[in-house]
This record gives sequence, structure tokens and C-alpha cells, in this order.
Amino acid sequence: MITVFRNGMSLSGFDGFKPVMSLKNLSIKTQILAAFSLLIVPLIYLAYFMSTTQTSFTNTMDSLFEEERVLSLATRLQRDLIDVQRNVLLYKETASSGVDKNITRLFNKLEDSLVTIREFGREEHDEFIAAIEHHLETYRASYAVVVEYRKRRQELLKLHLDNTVFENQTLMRLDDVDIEIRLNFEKHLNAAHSSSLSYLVTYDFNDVETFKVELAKARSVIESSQDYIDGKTLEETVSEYETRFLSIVQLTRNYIYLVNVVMAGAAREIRYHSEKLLEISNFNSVKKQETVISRLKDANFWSFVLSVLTIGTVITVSLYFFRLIVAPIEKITDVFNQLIQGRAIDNIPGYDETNEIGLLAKAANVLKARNQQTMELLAKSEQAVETEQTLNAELTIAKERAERALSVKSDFLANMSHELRTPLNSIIGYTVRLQKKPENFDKRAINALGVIERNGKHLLNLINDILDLSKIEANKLEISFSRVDVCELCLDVVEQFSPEAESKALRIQKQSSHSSYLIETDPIRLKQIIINLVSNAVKFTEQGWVRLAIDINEEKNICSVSIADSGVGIDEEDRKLLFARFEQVRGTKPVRIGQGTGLGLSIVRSLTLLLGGRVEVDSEKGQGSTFILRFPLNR
Amino acid sequence: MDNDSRNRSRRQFLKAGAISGGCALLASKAPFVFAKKKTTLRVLGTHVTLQEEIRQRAMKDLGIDIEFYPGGSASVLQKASMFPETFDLYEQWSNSIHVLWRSGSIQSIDSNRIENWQEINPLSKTGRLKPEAGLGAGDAPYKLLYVQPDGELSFKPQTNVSFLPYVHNVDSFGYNTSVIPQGVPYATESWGWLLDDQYRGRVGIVNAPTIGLFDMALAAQAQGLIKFNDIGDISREELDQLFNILMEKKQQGHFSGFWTSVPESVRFMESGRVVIESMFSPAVATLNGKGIPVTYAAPKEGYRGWHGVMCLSSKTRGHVKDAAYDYMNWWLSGWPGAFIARQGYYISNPQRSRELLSPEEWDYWYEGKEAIKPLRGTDGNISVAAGSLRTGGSYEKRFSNVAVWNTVMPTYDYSLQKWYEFIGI
Repeated sequence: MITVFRNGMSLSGFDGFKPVMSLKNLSIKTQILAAFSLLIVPLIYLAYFMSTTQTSFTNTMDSLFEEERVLSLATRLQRDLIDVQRNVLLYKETASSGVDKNITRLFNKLEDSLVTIREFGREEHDEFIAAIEHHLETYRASYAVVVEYRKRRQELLKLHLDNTVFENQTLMRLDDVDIEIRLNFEKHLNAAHSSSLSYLVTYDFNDVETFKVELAKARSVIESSQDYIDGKTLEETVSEYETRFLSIVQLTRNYIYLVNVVMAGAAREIRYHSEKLLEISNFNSVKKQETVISRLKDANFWSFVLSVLTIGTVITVSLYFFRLIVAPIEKITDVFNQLIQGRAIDNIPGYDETNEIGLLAKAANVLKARNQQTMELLAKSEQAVETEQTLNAELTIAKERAERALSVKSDFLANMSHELRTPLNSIIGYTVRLQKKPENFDKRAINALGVIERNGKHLLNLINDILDLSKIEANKLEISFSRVDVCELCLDVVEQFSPEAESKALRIQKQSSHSSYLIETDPIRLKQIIINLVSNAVKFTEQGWVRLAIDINEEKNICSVSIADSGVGIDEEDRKLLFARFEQVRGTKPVRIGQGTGLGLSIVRSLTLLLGGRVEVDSEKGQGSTFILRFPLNR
Repeated sequence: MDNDSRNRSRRQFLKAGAISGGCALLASKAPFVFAKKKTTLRVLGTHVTLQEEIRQRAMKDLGIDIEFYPGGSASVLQKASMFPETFDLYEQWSNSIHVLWRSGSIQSIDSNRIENWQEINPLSKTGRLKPEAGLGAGDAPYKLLYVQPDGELSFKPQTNVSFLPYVHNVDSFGYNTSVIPQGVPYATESWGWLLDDQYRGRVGIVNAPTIGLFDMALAAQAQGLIKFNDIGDISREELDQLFNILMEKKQQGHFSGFWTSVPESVRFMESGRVVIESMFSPAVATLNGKGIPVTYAAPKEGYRGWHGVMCLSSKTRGHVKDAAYDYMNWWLSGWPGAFIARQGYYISNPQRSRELLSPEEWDYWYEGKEAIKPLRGTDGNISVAAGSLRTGGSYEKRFSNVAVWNTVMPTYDYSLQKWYEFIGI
């Protein structure tokens, strides 16, 4: 109890219920199954009651229908019985064959009804059906006798009423004997016959007595007579007449007795016992109705009780679940939430339990441990970020400092270049002016002037290149895009270098698929790049040719300009350093003043990149070089 | 005076007969056990005497085959009166004699061939067991016994008789004392109870106009509803009057049923369908054996008497006729009389049966004395508890109180019409 309802809640039903006490240690799955089993019990009872009630109701309805059928059969039996009685009375009077047929038909109907009732196989009917059958048999047998008697009577009656024996032959013969005897005989005979007719109407036995007395008198009158009629004595004829009538009387009495006593009694008993069948059916119907009503009441009561029990169980089980499963789950969920939020948990509830709650608690414990590790890592990572931020800040300062230094350097270079170019231009200008008057100078001085002029120009180129590079690095070089005819531009460059190439006996040529093609670029810088490369080609080629080829690939939006020569070529090692500043191809003969600053290819690459293109080189030592420029046709 | 002297001579004759009967018993023991040619005897009758034990015993004693055709009293009478060729012996009641004799379906019996004829007591020969006893209205059997030379039946003694007198009894009604308070014999018990309104709906009557009619006539008269000039010869007008009374009762639902056989009357009472009804004594014995407290009333107005008749079919001839005489003789040989005594019936030569009854049985059944020990019925069950007293007293007392005999009256035909109106649905 304490284990289950540790919060002090107690459900009296579970007090001292040990299996429930140990439920807590069962798995939640088992507990849920147990709880559902508990819920199912009243439901099963409810279903059972519903089903039995339904079955009983159906059975009762079936029985009621059966009772209804018995009722209708018994009623039909009674109706047919009355019909039979009526027809028998009719037959008694008329002996009609039609009525006889009717009666036979009704007997069959009665028997059919009985057979059908018997087919229900009800023990309680047996006694009454047997009684009805017995009396019906008596009735039928008696009726058969009645028919027999009635027929015989009919025959005898015909002879009796049609009695001309005495009138014609007998009386004629007596006529001869004695008129007095004849009249006397006739008188008694007539009296007897009248009595017989009277009996046939009234059924009064006194008439029969009179008949006998009168016949006796008639007989005594003719005692001595030996007359014969049809071979019989008169006496014998009278006796025959008498016997015939007495037979009619007997037959009449007997069939009347049968109809009025035996058959009437049997009919009465049939009626009585069929009434009993009706009573049984009525009683059963009422009883069954009462039974079904009481069963329905019972069912209502039980379904109410079971419903209450079900609701009670549901509430109990819910509370139980809440206490035993939901609450611990809520607690453990809370623990997980806290753990997820990274809060520190001192104590995990349900850690000692062996069920799913225990497992969850253990999982929470693992999470708790992980959380702690994560917290530690987080702390370390925060520290690292902090360090990184400090470093970044320092880096930014350094960068700014460097950029500032670079800017100062560029400014310095630009200023200095300018400052250097002005005196240098003066030096060169004055040197050229001096060379124009060679007559003023001796040969040595003229040579010196030549050296001054060459070195001056080399220095100026160097300074220009350095100025360009500085501008590039300082992002101060201005680029201005416009539509430029690349073919024309290349032709200009070729023409510009033609004199120099001719002086070295080099063939310089331009190849192009187009005579004119506009691309979008900065013409000054493009030209500077191409001049630089053609200049190098002419410079490093002692004999052979320099070729400038233009190729337009509209599909790829590329304009390729290749500058090839048949010069010294560049080996692999040198190609790697080719575009670095102040690098010149090694192994070549020492750079002569005025031949290059070592900044050209570096400037070429930087400018090419600024124009959105790129530069590649393909060369082998001693096999000439090919520099390929690729620019987009449009910006 | 004439009557008296005749009665006296009959009594003397009876005494002589009793002595010679004793001799005859000795002499006649042997003939019945001689096996004769195996003959089949057909006996038509009612359940009263057509009992299986009797048949078996008779076949054993006589060495012949016997077939019993028991039926309701009415139907067997019909059959007998119309088809004499269908039976050899007919066992019923004296009221059927008129019908059978007139219809020519029975032949006379030669009393010389009845070995114990002389033992037969005066009840059936003169109508009285004691000089002071009443004769009873209606067709007393002695009036129908002797066949006169002119073929008529009369009380004038002749050698030829129309029937063999054997079983007889007085009838009344039985009532269930768990419902109807026990009455006092000959004092409070009355036929009138049958028409008492307090038993309305629970009254049973025997369905036979020659029997039930008298029960009703006695009841109506006892109730003071009618006074008959001669209850044994009820006129048409009286019948009309009687049936008017009965119809009124019928319409009130007074009568529950009309029985035609003894077992049926037992069922009526046993099932509770009736609490009072016309009854024959075996039914009372059966019901008492079943623990149903039925008292057979000794009505103060007197009993309705009946006398069993054994008749010989007019068609029976030759060795079958001989067998029929053997059977008739067997009936008067003692055992059957003792057998039926235990069912409450009397035999016409009781002294011969007395030897086969225990003194207690004799005292109870014939003398009307208290049973000093329990008596068993023919089924072996105790039918009479120790200390019981037979209602109505001794044989003599009962037969001295016969109000009317079962009778076929001149108004019989008319009564049939009225009866139908009475019992019809």
C-alpha cells in the first residue's frame, strides 16, 4: 500500500491487496495490461448480460410465437369441433351424403390440428392431446356407427313406409273369409301403423308399446288363419313387419344415443381439453412475458451496476495510473527537460525502480553525465573563442597597420617615382640633347652619353613599372571598360614592334579569324599587356618569328590572344617563378640595361586579372614560348 | 300379501340354496380345471368387471382363451344391441337388459346350467335382501330376470333367465373432503350436494342418461327443486321440468365434466377438475389409494342401485356357448367375488367368496364394520387404512337404502333429446 500510494492516497479497495502492492515493480507494459484486464472484466460481464438477455428475449419471442400457434390451432380445433357437431346433427336428421363428406373433411382437419400441436413436442400438452385423441377416436368411431345405423334405418324405413303387403294381397284374401275379421284385423293393423308413424315423429316410447299391443291384437284376430302371402303365413308376415319396425326403433334409439350422449360427451371433453391447451398457452404466454420483463429488469439492474462498476474501475485505474505511471513519467520528463535546458539535477526520481521508469531514470542519469561533459567542453570552447577574438582584434590592428604601411609605401613609391621621374626625364632629355651634338664630344664622351641615356631610360621604365605595380597593389589603378576592336588593337602592337623585329631579322605576324571584333575591356591596359608580352617575345627571340593570334569563341564567351615565339623558351623551374616580381628567366644571358625590369610579367598577370581574364604559358627550354591570354567577350 | 308370501318362499329357497350351494362348491371345483377344447371367448363389457387380473385368472382356471373388449357403458350397449355376432358374453348393468332383450341380441340363459344358481341371493330374485327393505324405484333387476313363455321379462320365476346376476353395488357420489367438509352418512350427506351452488364449476356427472339422469333427479328432488311422482318412471313433463333446472345450472357453469369411464372419473377428481361427482366405488378406492381423501357418500335419500348382468349373445352356439356357461359358473365360484369384493363390489353369492376373504375383509366390505387392520386392494396397495369404516354400512343396510335402480324408462327416448341439450357444447 505504502509503495503504491506513497503520497498518502489510499483506495480502500486496494488496501491490503498484496498483488497490487507489488505492481509497482512490474513493467509498465504489464501494469497497463493488468489495468486493461481490470477494465475488461466488467465489460465482459456487461457483454455477457447483454448477450444472455438478447438470447433470452429471442427465445421468449420464439416461444411466444409457438404459443400463439398453439392458441390458433386449439381455437381452430374448437371451431371445427362445433362445426362437426352441427353437421352431425344435420346428418342425424337428413343422412345427407354431402354432410357426411363435410364431416369427414372436418375430422381430417381436427386430426391435422392435433398432429400439428403434437409436433411441438411439449410434454405439458401430452395429457390433453392424448385425451383429445381418445375422445376424438370415440367420436369418429361412434359417428361411423351412426352412419351405419342411419343407412340401415333408411332401408328398413323405406320398407316400413312402403308397406303394401297388407293392403293388397292379404286383405283381399281375407275378404273371402270374413268381413268382420278383415275389418278387425285392418283396424288393429292401421292403429299399429299409425303408432309407428307417431313414434317416428315424436320418439315417444308409448307409441312403440301401442304398436306392439295393436299388433298383438291383430295377430290374435288372424290366429286361425292359414293364409299365405309369398309363401309365409300371415302370422309370419305380421311378425316380420313388427321385427322390422322394432329394429327401426332400436337403430333410431342407438344412433340418437350415440349422437346425443356418446358423441356429445366426447365433444364436450374435446372442448374441455382443448380449452386446457388454450389455458396452458395463455398461461405460458403470460408467464413468458413476465419472465422476459423480469429478465429485462434484472438486465437493466445489472447493466446499471456494471456500468457503475466500469466507471468506478476506470476512475480507479486512471488514478492508479496517474499515481503509478503518469506522475513518475511527468517527473522524469521534467528531469529530462531540465537536463535539456542544461540545468543541474541533484537527484533523479525512480532511479531505483526496475521498470521502464527506472530505465528512463537511468537514461536521464546518462544524459546528466553527458550534460556535465558538454558543460565542461562548452566552457573550454568559450575560452578558446575569447582567445580567438582577442587574436582577431590584434590581427585587425596589425592588418590595419600593415595596410596603412602599404598605403604609405605606395604613396611613397608614387611620390618618389614622380620625384625620381622629373630629374630623370631632365637627365635623359639633356643627354639626348647632348647626343644630338656629337661634334662637341669625343668618342668616349659620346659612349658615356649613350650609357647615361640607356640607363636613364631603363631606370625610367623601372620606375614606371614600379609605379604601376604600386598602383595595382594600392588598388589605385583605374580601369575603364569600353568596346574595343581587339583585332585592330593587336595589329597596332604588331606594327609598333615591326621595326624592332626587322632589326633582328625576325618575322612578326598577326593571325586572326576575324578582321575586326569588338570586346568589352580597358583598351589601354589590354594594349599594355599585349605590348609587354610581344616585347618579351621580340626581346627573347634571336631568330625566327613572333606570332600573335586572335581566337574568338562566342560560345564560351572567350577571346583568346596568344603570343608565340621561336625564342629561347622557359624551363619548368622558371615557369613557376615566371610571374613573380623582379624574376627573370635564369640561364638567359644577363639582363641588359634597357632590356627589362623583371616586373613585366607580374604586371601582365595583375592587369589580366583586373580585366577578368587569365594568362597561361606553354614553353619548353629551347623550343620557344607561347603566352595565352583569355578574356571574356563581355564584362 | 301376495308379495310377502313370495318373498318368504324366496328366503326359504335361499337358505336351501345356500346349503346346496355349499355342496355344489365341492362338486364343482373340479370341472373348471379340466382343459377343454381351446376355445376363445369374447367378452364385451365395461372396465368394472373386464379387468386383466380376472381375465388371466379365468383363462388359467378354465383353460380357454378369453378376449376382453372393454368400453364405455353406452358404446358397449350399442354394440351389443346391434351386433350380437361380435361378442359371446356381455357384462353390463341391468338397465341394458330391456334394450338387449328387445333387440334380440341376447338369448336366455338356462339357470339349470348355472351350478350355484341356488346360492344367488334374493336381491336379484325378489328385490329385497330383508323383508323390511325398500324395493327401490325403477327397473329393479328381479323385475327383468325371468323369461316368460311369451318372451316377456318378469319377476315370475322361470328356468330361463335373461341374465346371470353377479356383481352389483349401490352408487352415489364421491366428494373430496379436503374441500368439502366430511358429512354424516344417511344424515347430512345428500344428493342435493351435486347441485349445491358452492361447488359450482367443480361438479362431475356420469355421461349416461339411464344413470346420470337419476343422480340429477335425486339431486334436484333433494334440493326441493322438483318432486317426482315416481322417480323410476319420470314423465315427459317432469323431464322438461328437471332439465330446465339443470340447464339453468349448466348456464351458470355448474358442471365441469361428464365422464364415461371409471378411470376418467378418477382423473376428474385427481386433477382437481371436480371436487364432487357421480362415482362408482372402484374409483373411490383408487383415489383413496392415491392419497386423495374422497368419501363415497351414503345419501340420506338412498342410493342409486345397479346390478351387473352377464348376458349370452343370441349368436353364440356350440362349444363357445359351453365355454360361456363355464365362464358364468366361474364367476360364481368364489375367487372373482372375493376379488371384486376388495374393490367394493358385491357378488350375488357372497358366502362362497367369504371363504377367500379374511375375516377382517369380510367384516369391512360386507358387514360394514371397522377395518381392524389395513386392507389391501387388488393392486396390492393398501386401499383401506386400519380404523376405516365403509360408508353406508353393511351390504344389507346399503341395499335396503336403494332410492332408485338404473332404469330405462318409457321416456328414455325423450330423455336422450333432453340429455343432449344438457351436455352439448
